[in-house]
Amino acid sequence: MTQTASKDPEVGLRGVASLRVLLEALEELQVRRARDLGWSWQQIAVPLGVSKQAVHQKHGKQRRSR
Amino acid sequence: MKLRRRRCSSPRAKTIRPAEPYLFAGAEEARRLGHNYVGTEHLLLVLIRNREGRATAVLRQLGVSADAVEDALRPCLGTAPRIDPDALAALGIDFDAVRERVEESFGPGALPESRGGPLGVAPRAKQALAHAIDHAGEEPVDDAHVLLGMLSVSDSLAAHVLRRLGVSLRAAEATVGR
Repeated sequence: MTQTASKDPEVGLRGVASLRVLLEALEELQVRRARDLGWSWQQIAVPLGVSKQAVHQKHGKQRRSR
Repeated sequence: MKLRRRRCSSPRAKTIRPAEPYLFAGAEEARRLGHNYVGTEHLLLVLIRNREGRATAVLRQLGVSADAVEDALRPCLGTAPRIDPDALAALGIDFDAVRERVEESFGPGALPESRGGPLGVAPRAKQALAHAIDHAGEEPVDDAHVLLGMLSVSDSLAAHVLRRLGVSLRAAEATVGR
């Protein structure tokens, strides 16, 4: 990736989108593993820095459908 | 004809089961675009793909072609976010290295390049289908009912696009009723 390309908003924006997808994928993997290991939603919420409700709402339903 | 205007009221239908075929067809459109939800934009695509359907007929009578709808819709359909290794490299992130480590912990293929998983149904799409069932009454839900259903949810993306083309709920209802 050249210096010029990294100043291109297009590349920058695609970088942001890439990070977001990566973040979501990593969060899902980590949360699923923690749940499989028997962690409570509260235990998962603390290191994520979000509320117990937020993490449960986001990941609770997906789990059931798997 | 009797006008059944429900622009601001909530739908009476409690389940969208009678309109499920539209949900499935919409999900197919969403998947094709790489989206992870079904919205009214996907339902509208379903309607205009059915060139023999009642919705395209109603739109045609209102002077709006299926192509015009598709053209108006296209800029509203974002592409699905995906991981672009080059864009990450521009930030100094080696995606191959990230993938390698994640696969060490979670197994091969743990990290998809694009979002997968089950599709969600956008609240407005659900509302639109419930309205479609209301519009259908005792009849089986067809394309025209779904068109009216979408127009009944005035802040839906489909309703916005249709309004921009000059299609209002009132005009569509009058045409359906003719």
